[in-house]
Amino acid sequence: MVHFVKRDKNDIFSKPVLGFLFKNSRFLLLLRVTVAILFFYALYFGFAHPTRENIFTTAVFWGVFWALFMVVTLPTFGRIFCSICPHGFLGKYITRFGLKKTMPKYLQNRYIGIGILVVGWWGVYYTFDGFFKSPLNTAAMFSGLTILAFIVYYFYKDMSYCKFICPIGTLTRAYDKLSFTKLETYSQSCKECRTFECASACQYNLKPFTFAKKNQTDDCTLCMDCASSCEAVAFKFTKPAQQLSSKLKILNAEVWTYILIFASIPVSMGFAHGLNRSKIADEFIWNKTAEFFDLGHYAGGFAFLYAIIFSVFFATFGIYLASKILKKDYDSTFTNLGVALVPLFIFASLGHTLETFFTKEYKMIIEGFAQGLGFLVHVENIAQRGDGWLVYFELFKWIGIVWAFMLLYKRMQLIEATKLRKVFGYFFASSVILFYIALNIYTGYVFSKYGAKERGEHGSSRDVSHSPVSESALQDSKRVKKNSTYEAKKPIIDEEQIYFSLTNTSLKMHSHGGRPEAKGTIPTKKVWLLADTKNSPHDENLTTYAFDTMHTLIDLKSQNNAYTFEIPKNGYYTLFAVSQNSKDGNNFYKVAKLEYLHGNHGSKDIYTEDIKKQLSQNKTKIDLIRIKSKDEDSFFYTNQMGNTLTFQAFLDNKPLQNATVNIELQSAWIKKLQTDENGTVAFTIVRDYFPSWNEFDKRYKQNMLLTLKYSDDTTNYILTYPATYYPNNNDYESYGYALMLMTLTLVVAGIVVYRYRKNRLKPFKEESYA
Amino acid sequence: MLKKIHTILNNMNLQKVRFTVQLLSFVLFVYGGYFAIDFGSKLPIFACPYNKEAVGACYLIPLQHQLSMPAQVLLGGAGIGVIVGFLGFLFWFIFLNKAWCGYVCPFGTFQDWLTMLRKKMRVRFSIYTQNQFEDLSKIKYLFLIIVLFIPLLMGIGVLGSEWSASFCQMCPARVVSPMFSGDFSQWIIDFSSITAMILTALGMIFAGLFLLGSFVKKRFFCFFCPMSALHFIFSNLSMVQLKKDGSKCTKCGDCYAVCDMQIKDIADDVTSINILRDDCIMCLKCIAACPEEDALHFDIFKFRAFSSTKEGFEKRMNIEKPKQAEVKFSQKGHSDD
Amino acid sequence: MTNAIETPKEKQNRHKAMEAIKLLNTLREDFKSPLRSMEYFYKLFEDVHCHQKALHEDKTKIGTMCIQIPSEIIYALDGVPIRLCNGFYTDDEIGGDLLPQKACPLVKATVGHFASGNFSDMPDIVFSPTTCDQKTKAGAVIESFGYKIFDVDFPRTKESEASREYWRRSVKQFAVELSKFQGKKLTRSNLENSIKKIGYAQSLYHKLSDFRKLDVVPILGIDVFLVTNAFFFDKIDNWIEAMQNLLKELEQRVQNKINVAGKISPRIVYTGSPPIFPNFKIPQLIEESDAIIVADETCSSNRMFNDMVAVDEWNLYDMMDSISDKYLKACTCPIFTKNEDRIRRVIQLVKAYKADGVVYQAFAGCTVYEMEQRSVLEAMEKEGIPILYLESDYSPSQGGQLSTRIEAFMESLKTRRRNKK
Repeated sequence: MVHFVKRDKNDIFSKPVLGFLFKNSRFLLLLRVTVAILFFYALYFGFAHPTRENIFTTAVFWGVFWALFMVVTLPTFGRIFCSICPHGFLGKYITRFGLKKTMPKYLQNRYIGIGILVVGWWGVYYTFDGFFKSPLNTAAMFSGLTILAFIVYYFYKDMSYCKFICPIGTLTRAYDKLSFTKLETYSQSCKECRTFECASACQYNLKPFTFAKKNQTDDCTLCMDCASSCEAVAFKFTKPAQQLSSKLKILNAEVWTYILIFASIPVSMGFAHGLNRSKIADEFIWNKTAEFFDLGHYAGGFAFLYAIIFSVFFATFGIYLASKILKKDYDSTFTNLGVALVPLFIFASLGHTLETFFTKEYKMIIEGFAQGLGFLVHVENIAQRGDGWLVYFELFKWIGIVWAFMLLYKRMQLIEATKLRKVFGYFFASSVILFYIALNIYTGYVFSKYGAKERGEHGSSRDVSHSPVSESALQDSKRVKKNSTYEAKKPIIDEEQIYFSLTNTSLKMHSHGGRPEAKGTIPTKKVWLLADTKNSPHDENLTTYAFDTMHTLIDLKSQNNAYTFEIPKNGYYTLFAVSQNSKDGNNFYKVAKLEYLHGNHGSKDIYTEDIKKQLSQNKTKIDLIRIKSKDEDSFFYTNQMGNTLTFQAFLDNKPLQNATVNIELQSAWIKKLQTDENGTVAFTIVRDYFPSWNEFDKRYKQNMLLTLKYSDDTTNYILTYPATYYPNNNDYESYGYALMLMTLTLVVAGIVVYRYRKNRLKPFKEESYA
Repeated sequence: MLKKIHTILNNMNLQKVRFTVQLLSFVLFVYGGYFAIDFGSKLPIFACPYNKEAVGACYLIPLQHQLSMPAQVLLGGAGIGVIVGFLGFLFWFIFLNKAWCGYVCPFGTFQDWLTMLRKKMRVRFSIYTQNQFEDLSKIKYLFLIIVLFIPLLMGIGVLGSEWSASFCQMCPARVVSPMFSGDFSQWIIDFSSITAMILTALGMIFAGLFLLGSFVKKRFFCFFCPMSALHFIFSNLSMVQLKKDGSKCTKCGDCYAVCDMQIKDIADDVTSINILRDDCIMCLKCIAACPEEDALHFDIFKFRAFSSTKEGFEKRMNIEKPKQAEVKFSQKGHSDD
Repeated sequence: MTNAIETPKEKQNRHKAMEAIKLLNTLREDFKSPLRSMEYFYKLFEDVHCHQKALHEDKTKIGTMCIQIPSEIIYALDGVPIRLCNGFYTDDEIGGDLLPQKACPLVKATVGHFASGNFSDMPDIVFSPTTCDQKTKAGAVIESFGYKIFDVDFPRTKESEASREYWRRSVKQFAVELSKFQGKKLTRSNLENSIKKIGYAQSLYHKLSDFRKLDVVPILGIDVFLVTNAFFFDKIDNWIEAMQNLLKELEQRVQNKINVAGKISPRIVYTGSPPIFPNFKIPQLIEESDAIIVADETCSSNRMFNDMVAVDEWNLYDMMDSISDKYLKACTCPIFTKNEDRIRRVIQLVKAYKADGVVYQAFAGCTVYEMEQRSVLEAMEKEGIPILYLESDYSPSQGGQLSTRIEAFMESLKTRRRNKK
């Protein structure tokens, strides 16, 4: 034993606050007593108030300790959970007064603990839905385990319960490998030690002075008894998963823990709580099997079973193949490479647990503990399901996946084989990870293609995010919010006019039907033909024509009043809808025209003068063509306030003079013009958008409608031409200020640099004492 | 035969070669659009698409647009698109590592031309002190964080759409690059929203600082370039590397003296083999200025494409038999400094 | 013939001539296959030291106490740099009366020379960089004799930015001072030309060194020392021409496979206090013991020529900065606080020249070289390179003990070589 040792910089015991928390035996005692009291009180509470009104018991066990505390501390500081566990704490005293027998070989089996956990807990959890939500069941289970623990502690020595029987004994030992701490001794001080107080103080019959050399701490639960006995014990910060960079003795049971826990939690949840919530849940094999056995109610259990089957299959078969490729024996390959799976569960669980903490557990913990202490408190959760930033917790499992790959690579490096073999071996050994990635991608695919089950169909359905509708609603809601102070006026109608609209105003939600479909198919555009806000023109006389960029006729598919046409190239597409009817002896010839400019950023089309060529057609008798100005030189040209638009009216392909052109802007500005002898008419779009600076949106789109009316002896001609316009960028882009700022910058910087360089002639400048 | 190739390569006049390559790249990347050449939008250089005839787009633009998608879309299938785009960037990057900066980037070439102008005007250059160097070199990572995280914040709804392409709004390349085609339309401050105003004002200020800074300091902007930071993170994956053999190095400091970016490690680090640092633009001037045999070399895979040799050094420094005529001096005249 | 009593100056000259001619004759006669082109150098030394010939009558002679004074600037300002390090025992004795007995013999000799005032080319001004303690203090002593001395601040550390800037400023001050003294202005083209000229001289030395890398070495180490010592004071154009002739002859020799050493002669790297003409005692002993010096790390030879100046922009300030950097950063003089560069240089020389062993010679009284002995020895041991440490001074009496030790070392190296074969 040494009484003083110079501690390294990374030794936690040398730090003021952390050192106190971890080393001070009085503090540790106080902490453990508190936890034990809490534990037993929660048990008592569970029995005393066995109904669902008791939220204290569930808050303590399922809110704080499992899984939040465990999953947060395991990959960080290590087996803190075991350090404060009341079983272990009380068990030490019980063993002191107990029989101290050696545990028989058949009980010294870590799979007992693993079995209790996987089958006894997770199996029950999935098969009997909501079993553990009941405080009575919870309390009963933990009491049962406590009694079992105390019995084992009484009979056997060396804290064998922790090592073999406790459901999470092997689990914490296995996942401790990710932590960034390690307990060991200063070997320099140990060289001359003859008494080994650290080993005699250890109730687990471990030898702390060997930890440094062995590169692992075996079953150490951080009880810190050895640290109190000798100063040479250190608790150091290391790199996360530092142990895995070198050779390490890994137990089979540990690797099986990784595989089975991976199966029980990420994969089973992915099946039972993930895929089961999609619309095609019934098609999955576990549900089908459950139906086959007529045990549909226990379908969760089947999902769990299949999860285990899949995971075990991929793990063992993958590693078997890898071992054959690497020409090593299966067992050593299994342990050496299987250890790379350690981050999968931890990170998936970490992400999920943190997310539910903010959406569920926070409220449950605070209200539960308040209840346990006897008073009523009401809090709201920190976040709602569906909040944007929560999505980032889903990233955690990908961090785990990437780290698993990295660890596998590190472990591969310790194996001696040729490079080619290692590459293939790597691929096969990572089958479990690949399976997990595939599961995630598949889940995403299923949800995006089929959607989630409706809410209420199966309890709680969380996957609002995967429905296609909400996504655009998300974007649009922002847009709508922004424009809310500047409301759109009613669309312009005339009960006798028909006009095209780019938006379907009959839907409650704003929908722009024109989003090009997935790449690979030809993009299409959808427009609606409206007559007023309520009805669509169902006129048998309605004929439609569509022209593409090369002025050739193309197909126009219609469904109700929606029309779809293909837009493969960039350019101007023109649509006509002609309707003729008679009313009170008057003939009406109504045309709805739409000119749509399609511009796709990825396209190879170049904007040449041909694009602007006027379309002359003979399908409609009357036509109104917009004369394109010289400035238009790109597919993304938009009309802006302050621009002058020029139109030319035609009747039977001859310029039409003295026709009335009615221009109506969305802001209710109206102008009436007459075409001149060439049939042209021109007007300037007024500036009518003056919100306050905070609300100014430079992409604020407004609609306008032009109506061409002409009556001759026989018929009344009406043609509608809708268009959109935006704020003029000259109104908010300033060259003057920019130039001033640039000149100012140049001058000021120039002066500063000049003065600074001139200063070089002065003798040495001072040193600053900061 | 191989020896002959090596000798020719090692003796080359780096200045001339570099000037030629830079000129050709500049013409290609800035004016290539006139010839309808399009290299896509994953280029690892500042080929700014605000310059309409540019032959592609700097990777930071699609990166910002993609990352600003709503978070659920991004972490759904669209994330694959981001990864594919990133792999495209990596594909371009792998060929030249940071030599994209030193030989191809039109913005860098422009700075080198400003440096040539300064040399002609016989104005001497400025350098940073070691402290200034250490403090300022972190700024490029700050810009990289702006490039990566502001779009992510947009994706989760914290920032609105006026922050879209926020780095581009304050990038001096947006202001300066269109000038090469005679387009001054980016010399604006966009007053449409407060954010846009501040960012474009910053853009103008940075452009002004860029013009002045590049005049007095060699490759001023490259010090702050987020593309450089992005390059450096992946520089180990590339097939060309800059390596040093420390045992041959005499720490004479010649490489440090000629380095545009003032990287001290080139001279003083005699243990590392891979001497590429985050500021390096792989202009290879250090190799050209090293008088020791094989102390610094530029490798393509394992092939030593350009090594420092005594012969090359002597050729480049024009150390030839001096003329017999005595050096000229003037008693009272002006020094031509 | 006069019956006049010899003046002290004449006596000094006679003694110095004796020392000089002794060595020169040894070189001419005692070694096998002497070089014809070396005759120029032998004659040069003879002229200067035996016949007191003045070489630079028409130019200003700028005396330098150490190699750190940039010769490029001196040439650009139309001066001639004369390195004043002295190797004569005669002068050492004179200096011994003025300086402590235990002082470095080189400094004593230099001071003695100044005290006697007996120069064939007397320096008009002396620049003394504050390198080692003894040279720093010697400056004041020399000034008291009535010479014009100007101190140039030299930093004792070279890693930091502060020392780099400090030295750059010192060089600039030196340039300003010198140009005031000369009454001339430093111009860009002059400096550029002088950089290139000295660079050319350095490249010739490198070519010479390349010959010593071969298995069959065509030139003795002691001859090379002589050549580089000649650079201290010779007209640079003549020196360059003589070097070119020497190189041509060596080229011939290599083709004819003429070896100046034996088949199993150990190849030696010589490091330590500089051997200045005619104090070539140790190199002579080494080469008389049938070894050959293939490389050296001394300030009278290798260090002057090893590093060439690289300039980025050929304007005045950039050239000055590059020059300063070369003289500071590349310097492996032991006056610095850390000496890793020197160790690396020696190891690199051993590897490049395929040397069998290192001889480390320090002057008795040279604090810096003596103190570095330990770290250099340790480093050589780590690399597995045999090293012999010697202390000597200018007195001719030590010969016996030194030769025994040197011979023993050479024997052990020869045995090693034989065993390796």
